[in-house]
Amino acid sequence: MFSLEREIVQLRDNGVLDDDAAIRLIAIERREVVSLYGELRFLAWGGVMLIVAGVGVLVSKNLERIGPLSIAVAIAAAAIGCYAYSEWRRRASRREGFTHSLVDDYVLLLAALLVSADIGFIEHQWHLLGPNWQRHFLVLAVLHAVTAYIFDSRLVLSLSISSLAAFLGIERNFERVFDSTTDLAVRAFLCSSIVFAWRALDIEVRKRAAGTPSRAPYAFSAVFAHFATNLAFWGALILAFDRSTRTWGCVLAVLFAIGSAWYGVREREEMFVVYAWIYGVIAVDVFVIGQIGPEEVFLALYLIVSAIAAIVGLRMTHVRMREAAA
Amino acid sequence: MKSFLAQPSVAEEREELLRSRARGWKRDRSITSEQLQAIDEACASPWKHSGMIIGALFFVLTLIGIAALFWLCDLMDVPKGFTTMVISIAAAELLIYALHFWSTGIESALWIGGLFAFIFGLPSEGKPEALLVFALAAALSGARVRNALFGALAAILVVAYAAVKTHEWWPPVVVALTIAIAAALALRREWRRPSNELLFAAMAVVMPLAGYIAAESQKPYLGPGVIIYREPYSGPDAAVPILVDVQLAIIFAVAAVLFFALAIPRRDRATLIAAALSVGISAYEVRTLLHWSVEVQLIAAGVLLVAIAWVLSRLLRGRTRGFVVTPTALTRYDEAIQIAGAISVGPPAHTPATPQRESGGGSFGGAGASGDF
Repeated sequence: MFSLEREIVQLRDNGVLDDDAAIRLIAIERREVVSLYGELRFLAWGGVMLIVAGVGVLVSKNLERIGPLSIAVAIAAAAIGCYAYSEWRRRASRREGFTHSLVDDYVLLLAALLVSADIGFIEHQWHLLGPNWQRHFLVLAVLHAVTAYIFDSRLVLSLSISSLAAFLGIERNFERVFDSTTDLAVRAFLCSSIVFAWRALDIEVRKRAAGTPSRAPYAFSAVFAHFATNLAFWGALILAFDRSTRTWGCVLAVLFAIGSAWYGVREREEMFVVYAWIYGVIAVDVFVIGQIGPEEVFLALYLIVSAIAAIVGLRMTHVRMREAAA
Repeated sequence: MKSFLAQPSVAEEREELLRSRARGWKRDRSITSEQLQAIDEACASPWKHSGMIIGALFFVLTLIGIAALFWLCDLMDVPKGFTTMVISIAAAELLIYALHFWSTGIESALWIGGLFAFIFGLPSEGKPEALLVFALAAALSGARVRNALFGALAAILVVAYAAVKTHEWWPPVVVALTIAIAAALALRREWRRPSNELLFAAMAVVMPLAGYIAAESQKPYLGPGVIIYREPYSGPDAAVPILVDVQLAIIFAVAAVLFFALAIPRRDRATLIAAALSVGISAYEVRTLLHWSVEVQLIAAGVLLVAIAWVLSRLLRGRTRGFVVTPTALTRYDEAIQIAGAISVGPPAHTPATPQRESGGGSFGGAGASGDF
C-alpha cells in the first residue's frame, strides 16, 4: 500500500491545509474511507451497454419467432418503464433528504438507447417514412435533445447529436474517412455548423435565464464544442484523403486547427489545442507525402522531422498552457 | 549525491503524486483553489511531466518517429536495429539528464521503442523464446523509466510465452494468477515510491485477464486465435470443452475468493478490481453449462451488473467509514469513455436494404440494435 499521510501532515503543519481538510484526506490515505462510487458507476454503465447489445442480438435473431410487433411493443414497454423511473426520480429529487442513486443516469441512458433501437426497428420493419427513412434519425435527435434538457444529461445529449449526424448521413466507421466523397465532407461541415449554432443558442438562452452577462461554461457547452470540432476536422480530412480535393482539405484542416488552437488557448481547454495539433499534423503530412511521392528515403526523413516537430510544438503549447493555468 | 541513473528521488516522486492527487481533491471539493495552488508551489519540481492524454500522444508520436528512423536505416543499409536503439536511448538519456523529462511519454517511448527496434532488427527464427526477449526489453525499459505499464507488459509477454510454448490452457493461467497473487501480496506492504505501488497494482489488475485470454487461445477445440464468444456446446464432443470451461471457472472462482480475502481487510482498490475481474471470468466460463443463447446471456449479464451496482450503492449508502459511496466527480476521461461507449451502440447511418421477403434482408439502425437479418 502507499500513503501520503506524512506529506498531508506536513502541509497541515505548514498552514497550507486546514485541520478539517487534513483529517478528511488523512482518513482517505489511511483507507479508513474508500469510495467505490467510481467503480459502481462503471459497473452500471457496463451493464447498460451489455443490455443494449443483447437487445440488438435478440431482435435480429428472433424476429421471425417472436414477431416484429411483439418485439417493438416489448422494447417500447421497457423504454417507457425506464423513462418512468427516471421521471419519478427527477420529481423525487425536489424533496428534502433525497439521495441521488448512481444508477439513475444509466437507467435514463438505457431508456434513450432502447427508444433508439425501437424507433429504428419500427422504421426498418414497416417503412412508415417510405423513401425518407433517414428522417427517423431526426425524430430521435429531437426526442433525445428534449430528454437531455429535461434531465440535464450530457450522455443523452451526445446521443441526440450522433442521431443528428446519422440523419445527415455521417457514419461512425473510421474507415469511411479514407473512401468517402466530397458529399460526406459537406455533410460533416453542415452537421458541425448546426451543432455550433445549437451551442451558441444554448449558451445564449442559459445566459438570459441565469441573468448573468459572463461567459461561464455551461453543462452542455463542452459536449457541443467537442462534437462540432471533431465533425469539422473529419470533414476536412475526408477531403484531404481524396486526391482530387487534397489541397482544399489540407488548407481547411489547417485553418480549423488554427481556430481550434485559438479557442483552446482562450478558454484554457487544452483538448482543443491537442485536436489542433493532431488533425493539423495529419493534414500537413497527407499533403507533403502526396507531394513527395514514392521517394522512400525522403518519406522516412519527413516522417522523422514531422514527428519531432509535432512533439516540440505540442510540448511548447502544453507548457505555456500549464503556466497560464497556474 | 547524484545517482548514476538520473531519475526523481523518492521525495520528488511522492511530491509529484501529491500534486496530481491534489487536483482530484480540488475536483471533489475537499480543498480550495488557493490550497491547490499552495500545494503546487510547495511541491515544485525540476522534473517535467505530462498528463495522461498528452503523455499518450507524445508516446505515439515518438513511436512513429522511431519507426520512421528504423525504416530510414533499412533504406540506407545501416544496421537498422542497433542504430535505432543507440539513437533512441541516447536521445532518451539526453532528455532525462539535460532537460529533466520524466513521465512525459517521450523518454518512455524512446526507451521501449529503441529496445524493441533492436530486437526487430535481429534475424528471426519464429521461436517462442522471442517473447521472453521482448519481455526482458519491456522490463528493462520499465525499470529505467519506472513505468508500471511496461512492467505489466513484460508480465503479459511471459504469460503469452507459457501459452505458446506449452500449447496447453492451464500453464498461462497458473503463471498469470501466480504473478497476480504475488502482486496483491506486495500491495499489502507500504511502499515509499508510488511507481512501485503502481507496478504491483497494474500487475494485479491485468494478470487475471491476460491469463484467461492466453488460456482461451490454447483450448484444443478452438484452434489458433482467440474466440470471445461461441454458441453453447451440444452433441457428443461437448464433454471435453465443457470440462475445460468448468475447470477454468473453478480456478478463477478460487482466485477471486483469495483476492477478496486480501482486498477487503486492507481496502485495496487494485486487488478488489482483480477479484471482480476473476468473478467475471468465472461467471463467463460457467455460462456454457446454462445453455442460454447469446442475447439472453448479454441481457442477463447486463441486468446483473446494474443490479449489483444498485444493491451495493444501497447497502453502502449513508456509511462514513470503510467502503462508502461518496459521490466523486466524473473526470473528463471517464465521461469521454462513457459518451464514446453510448455512441458506439448508437444508430449507424447506412442505407437499409430494400425489404425482400424471400432472402437477403438488411440491417436496421436502432441504437444498440444494429442488427442484420
